Amino acid sequence: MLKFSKVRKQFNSRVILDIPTLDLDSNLYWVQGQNGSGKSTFLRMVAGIIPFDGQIAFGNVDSKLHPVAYRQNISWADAEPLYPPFLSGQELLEFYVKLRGTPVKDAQELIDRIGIREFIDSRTGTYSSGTLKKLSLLLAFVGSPPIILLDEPLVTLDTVAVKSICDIVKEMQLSGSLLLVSSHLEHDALVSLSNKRLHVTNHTITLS
Amino acid sequence: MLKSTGTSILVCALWLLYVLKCLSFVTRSLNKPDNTFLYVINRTSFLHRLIACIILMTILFFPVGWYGFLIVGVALYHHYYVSALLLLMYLILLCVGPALRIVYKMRHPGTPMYRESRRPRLSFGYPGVLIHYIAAQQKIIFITIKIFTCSLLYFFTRINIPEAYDIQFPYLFFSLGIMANGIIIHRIRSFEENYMLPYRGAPVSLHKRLADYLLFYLIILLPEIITLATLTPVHLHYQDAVYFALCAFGLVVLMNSICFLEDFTMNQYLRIILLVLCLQYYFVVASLLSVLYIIYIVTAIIIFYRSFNLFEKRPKPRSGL
Repeated sequence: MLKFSKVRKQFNSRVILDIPTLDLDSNLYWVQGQNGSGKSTFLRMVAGIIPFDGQIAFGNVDSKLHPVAYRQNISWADAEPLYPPFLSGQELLEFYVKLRGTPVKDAQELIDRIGIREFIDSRTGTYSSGTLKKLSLLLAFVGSPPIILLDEPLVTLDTVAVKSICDIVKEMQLSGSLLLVSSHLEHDALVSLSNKRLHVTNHTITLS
Repeated sequence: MLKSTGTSILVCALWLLYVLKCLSFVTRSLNKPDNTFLYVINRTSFLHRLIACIILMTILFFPVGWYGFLIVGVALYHHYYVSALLLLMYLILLCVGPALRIVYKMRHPGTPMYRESRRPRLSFGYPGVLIHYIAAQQKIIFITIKIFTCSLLYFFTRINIPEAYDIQFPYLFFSLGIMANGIIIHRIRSFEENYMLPYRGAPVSLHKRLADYLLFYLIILLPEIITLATLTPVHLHYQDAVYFALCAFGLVVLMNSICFLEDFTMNQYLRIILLVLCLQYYFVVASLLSVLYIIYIVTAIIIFYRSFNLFEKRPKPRSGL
């Protein structure tokens, strides 16, 4: 379970998010909100990428007291991913799976399913935005962490990749992962898989 | 310069480095989304584009290149006609060559910055990624800074003789060169925040992150360390060489940690570094380099542990808005 307690995020004196308390069980959640409502900020806070006040914990593992153990359980794919253009997808994959302690061979099936095999040995500087997105999703899915955060995951993807990603997400959901997927589109293919919604409005998050 | 071949080659090499840096600046500016409107120049003739780019390169080269044209004048005055002609051709080439490259780049905007090339797949840790970054995107500024720092160190320490041995003067200039490394450090931090963001959320302890930085900056300082080694023991005592190296290491690690205090602009950052250099003046005058490097390293470690998790890149307002 992912627990939020008195979580507050502000830039300078402007409050972006204020979450008094929120508990999330393993499931697929659609993080819904308008542009600029704080969806990406919310996901980045959970991913441990930006600082915040309050507590976020996965089970008994607090993100601030035990950051390494906490982050071991979480992966994140950015809405507009950027990677070092001089490294290949394979080099980045090896770099990140080594950090997570996952064997690289576990990624082979995912590489084929996501449809990035043709480009994996090329430098990311030659990738299209769709291929960059696929790489970010590959890095998020590899190792099947218990919590997966996907920020606008289907934007720029082709229809074949959209179907593959939906299948992978469905499998992850069934295997007991907690997935937070942000999107502001009602007709997003992943949204139809989700039966729980997190509304980001008025600087807070409510579950429905 | 007209009489010494060595000096001529050195000056010409420095001009070339400067021009390559200018070329890199222009091509990067052209690749920015904000500047895509500039591609409208492709509607004009090739000659028009070439002249525009030659004027651009001449303006960019002028702050350094005016000296070259002055030397051409001096060479003609002293009847060194061949030298004058060669130098003039070289200066023209430095303006026309990059101009042709810019024209080509503008004509082929879809050309990827990174072409496929066969190279061995590398196994590396985080320091390896940062070294890749410098090799791929910062090599000209890196080489320039290293030549600058090592030259300052070498020439100001070479004047040391056993009868008039002094380390204060060489160290002050050496630390000025080390400060120039701050430009690369600031760019590295910017690269990390833009291109290595997932690594920030990766399950890596602060100890490991710090150890990676320490290893990386030790590698970065190898040219200075080698220069120091060549100066010992004739011009620099072994102990002083070790203090120089430790102070340089402490300063770059501190400059790295300062980047975690706040999302500083380059100007703000350089001002802070300048302040650090002013503060170190007391330690240099009092011959306390043995204390200075400890202060640098301890301060750097404290700042790093306190600031790493609190750092956040601020969204910057877009220019023109």
